[in-house]
Amino acid sequence: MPDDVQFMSHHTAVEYKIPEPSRLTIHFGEELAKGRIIGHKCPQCGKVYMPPRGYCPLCVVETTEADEVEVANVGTITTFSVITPLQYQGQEETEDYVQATLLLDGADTTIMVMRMDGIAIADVRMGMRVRAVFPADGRSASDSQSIARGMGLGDAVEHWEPTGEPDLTREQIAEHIL
Amino acid sequence: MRDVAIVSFAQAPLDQPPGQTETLMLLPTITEALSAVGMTRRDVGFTCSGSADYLTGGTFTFVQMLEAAGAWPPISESHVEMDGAWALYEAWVRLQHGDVDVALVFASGRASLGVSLRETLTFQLDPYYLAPIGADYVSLAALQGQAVLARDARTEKDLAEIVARRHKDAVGNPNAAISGSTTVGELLAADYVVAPLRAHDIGPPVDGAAAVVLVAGDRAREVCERPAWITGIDHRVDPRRAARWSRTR
Amino acid sequence: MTATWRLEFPYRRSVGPVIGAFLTALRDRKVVGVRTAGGHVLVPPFEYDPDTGDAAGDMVEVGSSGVIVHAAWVVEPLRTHPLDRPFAWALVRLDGADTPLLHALDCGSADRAEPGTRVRIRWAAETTGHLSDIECFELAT
Repeated sequence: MPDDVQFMSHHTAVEYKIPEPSRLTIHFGEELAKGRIIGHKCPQCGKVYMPPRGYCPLCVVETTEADEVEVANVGTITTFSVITPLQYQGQEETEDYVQATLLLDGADTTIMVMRMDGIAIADVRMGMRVRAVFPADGRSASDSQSIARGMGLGDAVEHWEPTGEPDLTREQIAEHIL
Repeated sequence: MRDVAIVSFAQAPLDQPPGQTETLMLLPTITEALSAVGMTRRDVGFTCSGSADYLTGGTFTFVQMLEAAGAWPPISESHVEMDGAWALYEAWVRLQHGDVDVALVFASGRASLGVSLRETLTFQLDPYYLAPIGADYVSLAALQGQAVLARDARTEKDLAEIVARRHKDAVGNPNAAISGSTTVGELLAADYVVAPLRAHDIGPPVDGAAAVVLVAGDRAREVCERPAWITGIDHRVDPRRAARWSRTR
Repeated sequence: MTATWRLEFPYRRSVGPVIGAFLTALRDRKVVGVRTAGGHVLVPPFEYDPDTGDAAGDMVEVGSSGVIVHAAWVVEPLRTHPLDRPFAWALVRLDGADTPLLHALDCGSADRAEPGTRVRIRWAAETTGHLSDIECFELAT
């Protein structure tokens, strides 16, 4: 029968507390606010994780302040995407922009979804050497805490600029493209 | 059927640093469970974990916890979107195949992150007849409780006696969320949440992690003086209709 | 103070012919169940007999009043509960049904929700074909 009920709406809503940041996340954010990028070096295999997560997933050992190392604020674009923003409801972006994956010198892990707004899109390329420029007036530590979660440095860096050094070759960055 | 035993168990301490992730609760817990029987992660033939993404609202959060199990080189593993008890059941089944002897089971959860665990867990229920009226797990347990008390001619005093005993048994266990000396009178004087259940009848939401090592056959005797042999195990799914939950036959 | 965030999904579920028939009847302020091969009338209806696994049979209309099988008093309702004042969850076996339906009973106090008490459905002012077409149960005196 055409009049029979065929669908049922169910608007589900679940509320969660935002978890408080760990001491390590807070510390990472405080250092970022000073323009200092830190990682943890695994005491067993020597790999440097940035951002540090408190353990090495390959050796499955915990890492601590004793394993803290500084990571350079220069690095290499290993891969990137040029995003053309779809104008869906709620979209705030209007112009094309680049999201890049960066391998900073001294780190064995990459940081992702870094905006490359300071560099002309046509100039962005794999292997390009870039440097972080931090805000002149610094950021408060609490700003940096919230942005230090997840895959990268969030918006701690004001922009990235080319260093002018020769590009790294594809072979040199092959392990860090994905 | 192969004989399978629990040879080791470890639980993350209740007292964790602020913002501790489940992965970091699990990492030392798994190491402890394996070390207790002289094993490392390399000795494990099958890994099974249990957790519920709904507790924290993050999709696929369990994937990150696999790093605590040591997922490189690649391991044979499975995950159940539920809890450690069910993960243990799956691991027990896996060991019946006979090709591996050691299984690692682990589970974790941060139930404290839900603003209302009762509301959150309603989403696991029948979406047509239970979820729309917000029939939560405490309410449904209360209905079951009413049915059982009626069937067995028991009273709330009987429920309170169980709680008083458990509180006392928990004293001295550093991982017990609640412990102490309570009297039946004190317990019965407390307000209901949903009758006949009072707050002390309902487990509080806690954050935690645990790991169990299962070993099959003679290997269990090699690594453990007193293996806890699993002589029976089963799992059931609650029927969809709430009415059947309160049938007491 | 803790900051919170909210996960929302707007679901639209298909209900199929059996649950659909139940919801359609609710919209008409009626209740239907399904008869099993063994002759039992299941309310609310499922597509299958939970005892045997057989496909469910014909739809059967049942009454809008019945008796409480079990009840549990809610001291402080959650915001997702059907009522915003203390109420009893009640499993009610409607006249003609062999299984009870769960819903809220608006009866004022716990002592009025004893098993065996007769209650009836209070229908919502507007019905849409949803379980909330039953606003709640009320005492049938």
